[in-house]
Amino acid sequence: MASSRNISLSRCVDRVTGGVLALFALVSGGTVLLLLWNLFAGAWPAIEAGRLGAFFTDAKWQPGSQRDPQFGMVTMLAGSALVTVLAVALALPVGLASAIFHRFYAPPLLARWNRRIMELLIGVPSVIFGFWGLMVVVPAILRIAPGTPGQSLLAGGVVLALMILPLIALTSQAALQAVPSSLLQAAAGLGLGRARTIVSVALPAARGGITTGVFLGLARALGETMAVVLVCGNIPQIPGSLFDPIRPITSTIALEMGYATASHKALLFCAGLVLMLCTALLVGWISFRKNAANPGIGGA
Amino acid sequence: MNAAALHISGLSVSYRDLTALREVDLAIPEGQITALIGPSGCGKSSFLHALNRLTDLVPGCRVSGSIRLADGTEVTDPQTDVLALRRRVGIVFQRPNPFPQSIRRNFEIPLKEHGWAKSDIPDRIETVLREVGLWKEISDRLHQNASTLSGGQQQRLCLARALALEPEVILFDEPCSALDPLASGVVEDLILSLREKVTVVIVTHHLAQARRIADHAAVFWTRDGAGTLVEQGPAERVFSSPQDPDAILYLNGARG
Repeated sequence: MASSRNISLSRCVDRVTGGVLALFALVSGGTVLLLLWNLFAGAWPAIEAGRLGAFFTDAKWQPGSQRDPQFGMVTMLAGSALVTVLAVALALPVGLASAIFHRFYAPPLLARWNRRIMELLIGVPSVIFGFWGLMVVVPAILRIAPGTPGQSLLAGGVVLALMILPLIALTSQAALQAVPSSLLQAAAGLGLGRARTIVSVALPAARGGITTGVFLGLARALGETMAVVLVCGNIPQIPGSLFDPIRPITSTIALEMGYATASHKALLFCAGLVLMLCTALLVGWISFRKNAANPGIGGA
Repeated sequence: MNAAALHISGLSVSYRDLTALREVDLAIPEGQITALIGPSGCGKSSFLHALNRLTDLVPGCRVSGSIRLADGTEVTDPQTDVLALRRRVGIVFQRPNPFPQSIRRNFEIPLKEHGWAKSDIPDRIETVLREVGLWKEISDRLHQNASTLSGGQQQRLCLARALALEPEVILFDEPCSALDPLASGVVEDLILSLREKVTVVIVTHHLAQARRIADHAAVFWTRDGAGTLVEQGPAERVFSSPQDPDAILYLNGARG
């Protein structure tokens, strides 16, 4: 009898524990839904008023103007897209080179420090990067291209590149580290040199992981606000060159939310929704790739 | 008596403090099949990997002694071009390890690296795939990922890939132990078909297999904490009347 009571008690405890854990899991998952709902609710007045079309048809962004209010978001979408792509284009070769060096060339001590520095770089607050961009990158751009404002697409791209560099470098490192040693042995057994082994064997095998890093970098750069507010110049326009100022969506929201009223505010919520959607697509693509890729390496 | 394709003398292999193999002298006859047998951990694989310097990949591994190819090239000499050496002395591993890329790429990568003209590559692929009996099975899907092949097919692909480089010697490191009996038989027959064309050195735990295919046999055993060679000679003689007491027990299935 005593033992059966013990069993029913432990079952009961198990059920309660499970229930509590499920509740917490629900809370963390539900937060995202709540966030989406709030964004949507905030954006609703603009959607209801049919302003969404103006996002893409209006030429300019001047929501506060009394005489000629315009709500064109295209300049800012372009700004976000350009600065994000530029950042990844700058960070990918450097990050990949660093990962290859780390895996195939660096002596162990140097490799360990290389990794530590990258990990440290990941933790640097973005406002510090923005600050550094303002102090170092912008003046450097002014020296290269005098007569330009300095705060520009290029400045934003460089600062963002530095921010996502460790992300790309570390994911690439992990991907290269995960290349099965049997493949490297096969390469060695066939008399392939180090360069050929890296280019033809290791990189193709690590491609999935490297791509994940790139997408994570894209998502991070797209959502970054603080650093771009400081160095991009904040003029909503389609840049004619790398040296023109731009204003990404994130900057717009950060700069205007403080004083925006009714309909203007709803538009900013819309912008936030668009941003969230883009990030969700990127993250969704990453997990889709993870599931779809890897047909299995070697083995019977 | 054939000339020696590999002349090994005083070969020792150690990993940091651990001596895996001590003072091995062995001549590998050209165009024949030499089987290396013995229990696990007696230095057979270390010996095999030293023959084309795969031991270089293991941090802390030291090789001393002499390994000479037929033309006098000293394998252990640090000046020796190790990539060219590995083209001449190929290897097939225990687990099939095709590159997880197209079947064609599996040949193009090594052939290009070793200077084959691009126009010669398709013919070369066909020749070696025919040699391993894969051509009929896969000639219409050379663009497919090699990891979609079965285990036995993958191992034959790896053999074809090694053969493509026209090596003088092929090392086999327990090539059948990861395969089912049927696939294992196919690979075994292929190894037999290489006799007279290339020199084969094969490590195997499978005594019956060694008995079936080997012209020469070398028995390794652990003595004083390190692997060493205790018996060698024509396979028939080694299997029928071994001299070494440990080899006698091992070959009779009583030890090891």
